[in-house]
Amino acid sequence: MKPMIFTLREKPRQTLDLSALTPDSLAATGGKRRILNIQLLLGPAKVRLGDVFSVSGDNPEDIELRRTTERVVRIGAGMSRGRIAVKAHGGDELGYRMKGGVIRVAGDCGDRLGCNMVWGRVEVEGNAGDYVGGGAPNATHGMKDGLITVWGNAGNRVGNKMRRGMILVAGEVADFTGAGMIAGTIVALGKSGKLPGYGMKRGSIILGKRPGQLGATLSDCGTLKMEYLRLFFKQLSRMGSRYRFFRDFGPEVHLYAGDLANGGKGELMVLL
Amino acid sequence: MKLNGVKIDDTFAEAFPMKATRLIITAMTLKWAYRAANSLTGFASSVIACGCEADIERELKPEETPDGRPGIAVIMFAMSKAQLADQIARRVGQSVMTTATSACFAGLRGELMLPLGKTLRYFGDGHQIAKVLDGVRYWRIPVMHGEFLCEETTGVAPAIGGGNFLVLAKTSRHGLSACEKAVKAIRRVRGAVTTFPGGIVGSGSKVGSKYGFLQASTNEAFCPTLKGRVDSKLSPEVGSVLEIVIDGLSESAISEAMRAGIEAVCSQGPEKGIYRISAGNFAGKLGPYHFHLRKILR
Repeated sequence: MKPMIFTLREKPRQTLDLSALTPDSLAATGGKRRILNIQLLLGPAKVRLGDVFSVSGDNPEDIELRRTTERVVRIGAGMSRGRIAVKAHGGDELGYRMKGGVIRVAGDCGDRLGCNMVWGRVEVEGNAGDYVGGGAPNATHGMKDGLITVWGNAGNRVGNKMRRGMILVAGEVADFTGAGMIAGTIVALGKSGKLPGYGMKRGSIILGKRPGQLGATLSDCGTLKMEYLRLFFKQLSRMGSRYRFFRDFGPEVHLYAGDLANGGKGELMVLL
Repeated sequence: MKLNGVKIDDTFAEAFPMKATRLIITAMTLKWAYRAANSLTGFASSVIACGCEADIERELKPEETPDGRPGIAVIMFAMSKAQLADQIARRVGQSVMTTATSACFAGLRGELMLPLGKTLRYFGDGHQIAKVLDGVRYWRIPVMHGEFLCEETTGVAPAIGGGNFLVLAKTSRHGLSACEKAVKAIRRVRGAVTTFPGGIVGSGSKVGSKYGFLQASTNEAFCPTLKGRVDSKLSPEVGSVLEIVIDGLSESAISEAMRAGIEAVCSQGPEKGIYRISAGNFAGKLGPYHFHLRKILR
């Protein structure tokens, strides 16, 4: 069976909601003719999938999206299995409430990547916007579990109020990384903006470089060897050939505890 | 049947079902991993009175351990899951967690898991942190040397205890020298351990006793000093009998360990005081696993 390839016919002028385009919903819909009749939301209007996408292939568990733009939203929303490969822009809220499966994005992504994600894996080759792994605007918490990898840079509030899971950003992160974090792990290897860990309750933020500004309510614990990091980096290095460089990471960190204004059970580690 | 001039009795070792887990203990250096492993496996020779049977299986290179530090694989055996869970908590808590720089991980995974860090985490008094990596939960318990890292659970596997063979020698010195070689050979077999001190039993037992309060008592048929007074199984030239008891994670592991051990003993030959190999069995009263010596060596 060949992957189902959905190629956008033309750039949408309004947001195009692709939450109906998941392995789960395609498998439930049945044949190709029915799939072409799936209703998508283009702005406030409903449109036929066949009118906005040309479709080829026959494997609904393996989806490929081509020529998508920043106007698409909610790719892979609620999916629980299968694979989605996005060959262009991932749009906003990619992986919204996803429960399983894998999404790989060749280009950049917009805001709220992995928003309220429950389980699964998202990997973005390019950059991501704000609120990676965060929650929807009215949600009390962000992602509950799963793994988000951004090989480029990420915006503000990475892991905002995240509940569990892991976010790995190979490049830079902007301000307020891990703000209001409840638990989980954020790794950011590049430069970090202001006030990481602001209001964090628990969880771990591991930074490759000392952030631009640290909050006054993060307590300096000094330089330590965190033996847990040996296990953590070894496990990361086994996740695939691209992650193998983590083998060279050691346990020496400068540790900060915080946010003391919110219980202080979180930890911010700056790798040495 | 004779092997290098040593007579192999036409008999079998009788073994019984147990529950087992494998633990991986790591530390800053192999020396300190050994300290923890030796402490955990101390006083764990027999379930008769120790609560469990445990021994070091092998050394692990840093690349074989979850945290990339040198480690030791230990196997623990008990008669039931509940007994094993109790012994894991006691021994890991008192012997491994107290060893400087140590960490403890599951060496077995399966459908049935027993608490490991799940019970020990309370030592952290509320400061413990859970981390889930690749679907496995670990506990980071703050301790004075830094953090004691421990996997939440460890797997339980059906296992076999009581595989054995007896070495009938001219003197204790001859027997001990041969048995030391055997233990060395058995150490190379994965999934099998010898839980008695040095891997060798100097006081093999039979099931039951004339005293009602005892579960086991001396195996008088193989006691050289009782020759002539009891129905002895020893010929006049035998002056000492040592037993090697093997616990394993499978029948094949025990068979392989028995074969390796017997061959190592027999390599000494009668000229070095090794006369006969026998085995402990109790006519099917003890357990369902029967390891026939001659079949194993064929």
